[in-house]
Amino acid sequence: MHVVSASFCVASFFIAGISAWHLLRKNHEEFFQKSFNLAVGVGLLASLVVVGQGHLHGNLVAKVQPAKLAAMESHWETMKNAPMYLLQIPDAKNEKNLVQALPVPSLLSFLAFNDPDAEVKGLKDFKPEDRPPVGITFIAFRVMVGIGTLMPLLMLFGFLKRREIATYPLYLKAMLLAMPLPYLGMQAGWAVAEVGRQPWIVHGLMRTADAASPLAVSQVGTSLLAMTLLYTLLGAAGAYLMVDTAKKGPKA
Amino acid sequence: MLETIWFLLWGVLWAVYFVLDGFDLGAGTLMPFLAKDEFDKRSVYNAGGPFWDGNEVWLLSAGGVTFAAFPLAYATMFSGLYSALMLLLFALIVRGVSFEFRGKVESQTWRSVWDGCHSVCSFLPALLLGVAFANLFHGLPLDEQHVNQWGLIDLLNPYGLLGGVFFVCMFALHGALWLAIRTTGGLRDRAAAAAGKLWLAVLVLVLAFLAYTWGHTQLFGNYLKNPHLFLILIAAVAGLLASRYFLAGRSYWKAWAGSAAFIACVALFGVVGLYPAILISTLNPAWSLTVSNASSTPLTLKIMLGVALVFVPLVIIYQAWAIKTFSHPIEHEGDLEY
Repeated sequence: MHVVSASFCVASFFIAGISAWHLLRKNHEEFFQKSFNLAVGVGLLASLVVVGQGHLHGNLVAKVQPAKLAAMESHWETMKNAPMYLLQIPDAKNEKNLVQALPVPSLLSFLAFNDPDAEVKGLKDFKPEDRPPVGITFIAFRVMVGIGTLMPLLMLFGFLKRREIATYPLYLKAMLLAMPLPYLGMQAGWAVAEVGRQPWIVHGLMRTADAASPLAVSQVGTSLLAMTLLYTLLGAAGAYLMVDTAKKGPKA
Repeated sequence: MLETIWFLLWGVLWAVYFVLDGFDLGAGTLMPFLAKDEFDKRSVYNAGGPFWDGNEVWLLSAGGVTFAAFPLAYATMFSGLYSALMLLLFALIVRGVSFEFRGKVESQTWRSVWDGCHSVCSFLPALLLGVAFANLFHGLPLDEQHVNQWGLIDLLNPYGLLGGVFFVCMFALHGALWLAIRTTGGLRDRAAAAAGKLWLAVLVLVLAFLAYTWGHTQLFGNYLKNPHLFLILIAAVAGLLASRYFLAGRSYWKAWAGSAAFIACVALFGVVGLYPAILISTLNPAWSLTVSNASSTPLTLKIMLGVALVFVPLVIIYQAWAIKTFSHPIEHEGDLEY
């Protein structure tokens, strides 16, 4: 549900952005007003669901993959009433945070367990070989949450003001620039899920290192390079086509 | 019992995949030789366009069933044939995209590039699948951990290459017949003429392949022990002969059906010959992966069977509907969607 609603966010922001572009240029205004209305309606719902579902996911992760949660929050010391720091810079090598400022008391415990007095396990509770890479997991998580916060706000404004949205050119420009947001949010979220699960490929049962096939580094390296090149080219061709088609607008 | 059922279903999935993707891979391979102008080229794309991804679903199913029913074989096959599979994957990706992207920009350069991609990436999968299956029929040097010791170059041995060329021509014939069904005018005539020539090539190649298989592999073992299984080969020959007969009579649908029967029976001939092995080890028979040592648990196989019995008929139904909907011949500009 979290991923499905995120997909609808991608679609909504995509349609809203293209509609905004055409509304700014006053092309086919009636058509793009309709598509804009649809996009912000669906987008508002989808972005709220994605946040709600995300919260439920966080509850699940706190329970079954506590090391991942600890890495997501760069939370080192096991404690009750764990605060959430609005300004935080991890220092994984020294098993602490270089900067942890602007604490919101008990927020981490509350968000993870719906109970401000709950105990949140810290990374130090896990053997170093069982801890996920903190840097990537932490940054990706905050990027995802930041985007997840921004999306409903953007959609809410668009939804409430949709009938006169053409009179808000700054907002329309913002929606045009906001098109990549859900894509980035998705990627960040998947990074949290996959990197945060390391070193396990099946949590608690099999390590990624044990699951890897006996392939030559050259084989894997070549295929990775080829895949990256191929998808970059296809992505560029696709992006070109999308811009070309979006500019053309609806067929006469 | 369950493993044997799944082994046969696995074979059927490969057979159906070859029959289906065979025609659009074949048509794509022939495009540079048969299409003389823009309308011809677009006709070739439109002949395969509505079907290619539905056809590839059977490849995914075959791979998926390998994973779910015979996970150890999946591991050895997909990791052991890594480079070949990656190449196959990239070719299929580019070909699929070429269908969708080619017509969307008016530029001649854009279209020529995608045309090149389309034909090369229709040829490559046919070649690679033929090479792969020939090597599977012969066996691979699997060690005690069932790890394949051969690289991509080793797969291109004479028997493998013969398999590759055979598959290319077999799919090309199938594609030519499909083009004869779906196109009109000069393109249709050229496709039918090409089918006639390709038929001869396929006849020579299948005989060569069977002879080489007799000498080079153990595949005929099961047939000699159970001679009634030779019906599969007889059906293959019948299909091939019927295909030529109907081609001469310009009944292209029937000719295509004959070619389909031929392809399916060739695939089944190989799979039935392999049984009970899935991946033969040429180093030590004890290291082969068979239906007994490579399969999933009976519970898994039972659940899968239930799911398959429901969904495979559904897939066949909607695919038949798609073929029926898009089977009209391509005559003018208005028929072109791609």
